[in-house]
Amino acid sequence: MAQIALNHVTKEYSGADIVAVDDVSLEIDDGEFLVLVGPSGCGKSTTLRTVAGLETATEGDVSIGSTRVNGLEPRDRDVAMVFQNYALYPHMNVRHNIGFGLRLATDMSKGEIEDRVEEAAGLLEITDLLDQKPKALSGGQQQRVALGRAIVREPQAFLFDEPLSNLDARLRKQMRTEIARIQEQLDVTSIYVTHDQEEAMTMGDRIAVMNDGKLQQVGRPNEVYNDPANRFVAGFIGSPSMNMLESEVAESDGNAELQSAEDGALTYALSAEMTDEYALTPGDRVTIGARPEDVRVAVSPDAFDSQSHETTVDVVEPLGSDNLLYLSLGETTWTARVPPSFEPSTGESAYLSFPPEALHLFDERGETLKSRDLTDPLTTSRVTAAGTD
Amino acid sequence: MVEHQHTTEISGVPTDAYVGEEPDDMEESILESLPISFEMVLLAPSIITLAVLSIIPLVVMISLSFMEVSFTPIEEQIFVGVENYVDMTNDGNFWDAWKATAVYVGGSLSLQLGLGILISVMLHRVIVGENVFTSIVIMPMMIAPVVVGLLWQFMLDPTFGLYTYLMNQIGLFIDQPILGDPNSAMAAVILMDTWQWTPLIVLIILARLKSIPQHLYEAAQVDGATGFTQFRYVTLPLLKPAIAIALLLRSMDLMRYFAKVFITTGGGPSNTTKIIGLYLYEQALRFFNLGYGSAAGLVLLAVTVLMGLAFVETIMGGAGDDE
Repeated sequence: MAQIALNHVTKEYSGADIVAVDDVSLEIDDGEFLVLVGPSGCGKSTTLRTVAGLETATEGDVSIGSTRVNGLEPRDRDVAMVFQNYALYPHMNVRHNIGFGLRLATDMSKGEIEDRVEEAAGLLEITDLLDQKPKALSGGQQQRVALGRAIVREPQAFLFDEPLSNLDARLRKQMRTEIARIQEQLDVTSIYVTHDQEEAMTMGDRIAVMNDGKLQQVGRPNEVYNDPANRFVAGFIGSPSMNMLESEVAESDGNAELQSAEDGALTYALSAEMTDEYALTPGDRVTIGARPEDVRVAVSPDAFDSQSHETTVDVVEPLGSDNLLYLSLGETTWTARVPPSFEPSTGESAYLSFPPEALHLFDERGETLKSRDLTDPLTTSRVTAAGTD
Repeated sequence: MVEHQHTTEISGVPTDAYVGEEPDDMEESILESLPISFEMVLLAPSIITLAVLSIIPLVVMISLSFMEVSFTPIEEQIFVGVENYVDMTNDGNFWDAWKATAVYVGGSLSLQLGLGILISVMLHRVIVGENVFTSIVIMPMMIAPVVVGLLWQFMLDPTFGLYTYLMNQIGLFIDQPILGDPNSAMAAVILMDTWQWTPLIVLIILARLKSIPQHLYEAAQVDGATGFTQFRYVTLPLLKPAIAIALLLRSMDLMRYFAKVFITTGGGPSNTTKIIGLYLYEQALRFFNLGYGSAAGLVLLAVTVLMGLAFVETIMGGAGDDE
């Protein structure tokens, strides 16, 4: 077990045309479970493969424990990797698949290897599959074998490259818990790559969000969710995504307000404290953000004590526990998560409102000016949709 | 019953529904009135072709192997039972031909397989201009065997052959011609076939190599494999089905090998390169021992089939379930 550190790691492909990983620095503590999350092509897998030694960093250092591993072959790095497509050796049975690493990399006797394989198989509940070939196994079972292959080596670190992407939704959730359980039990430093923000939120001790090869934010799941570093993180983490609207600071009757930039369909009055705190001056372009669960919806504006905005209901998506409403406001669509009891019909007009505490603001470069205020009792106690009439 | 089902499927409507005299019904009844089922009608052309080209000759050959055939003064066939087969066991030339064949087939197969794997693994690593290299490598395969024989005979000619010249320069074969020496003649014939047919093995193995997923190598690297152990434990086991197919194709071809030896050595010197194919040719078409030749031919067929089965069984584990 060891700490893993990436120090200004850059990976360029084919003569600097593509920069897959751009100056990433990251420290993963001993025993920590770090999830690298980002959209396809953001460089998260390349980062992981650089740690594994399957890619060589163009610049920067990678260390595992106290060793700088830059020039080392994968086999000398003492890490185990779980691949998206399992990468089981098709010609070996499960027993040999799991024991292969021990056979190659250690001088253990056959009996010792056998014991270790049995132990790992027991932990993963695949003991009865040991003599099967991979093609006889289901996707979930294959992934367990791949996990077994990683566990049995007792490596310094586990590297997971989207290990659950090929499984169906139910199995994915089950394996998610399983991987988290095993990682905690074995207390091995782990890096887990995924494009699924839900997986990232539920599994990671910390989340590292990447985009375009750059590290956007590293933090505990709730930190990243509630206090995103920038517009990208705000939009990427959370499902459905945060509602966003480009706006411009304007002044009317001596009070500052935000006007939606494109169609002027929304104006949001700002308090004097807010303009002062975030140094907003008329003409500033800022992006408004509000999480769907912070958007309250009612049939009449009287239901709100704060400002509200008229919209039309586009789509109602019942989720059972909640209803998702898609509301059109000018040319933009807003998403709101409301209790299942509130179920307006399509085409009906409705009013949405979000309190200033729930408001996120991003500056012109996309950096966060203001995040949701969690200390406010109004937002911490779950905001519910106002009733019908 | 089967016939009935299929004819109804063609029209897509159950037969029971047909009571009228619509044109559809006419078509239906033509198909139904055929003495054989519809599938058989479709299969018939290929079955007839196959019968004419191989089944009838095979049957004739089997019957000939129990006959003594003479052409003078008129063609005459006398039933002799298993006499041809008994003669064979006592025929030293027959056994010598098999020995030559064993050396020839064994030598060629191992050389071709070894080189084939080596070349395909190297070609697989070539990133720039892979197609060009592959095309160059497979070129010999495109040449007719007789032409290959002539080409090599020319190259190995004792007076003006390029290869002979090169050999002479390093002090080899100064006293005797390459194709005239009992040892080097067999080696030359094996090399000739290797030159021509290694490319086939390269193609088969290269295709398989390309289908081995890259992530298996990555997993092996992380598991601690070096370049060699990756080849030994990942590449080679996964190549087994391709190797079995290559061996099967080449062994069948090598067993009935004829043209290049006929052109270059004619079986000599002193019968050292008289492989079974050449021996058969002599018996049946030079000495016109058609009965004996047929019997020997059947033995060759049996040996070839058994050899093929052995390759598939031992390498692919029967059903190829190593996949």
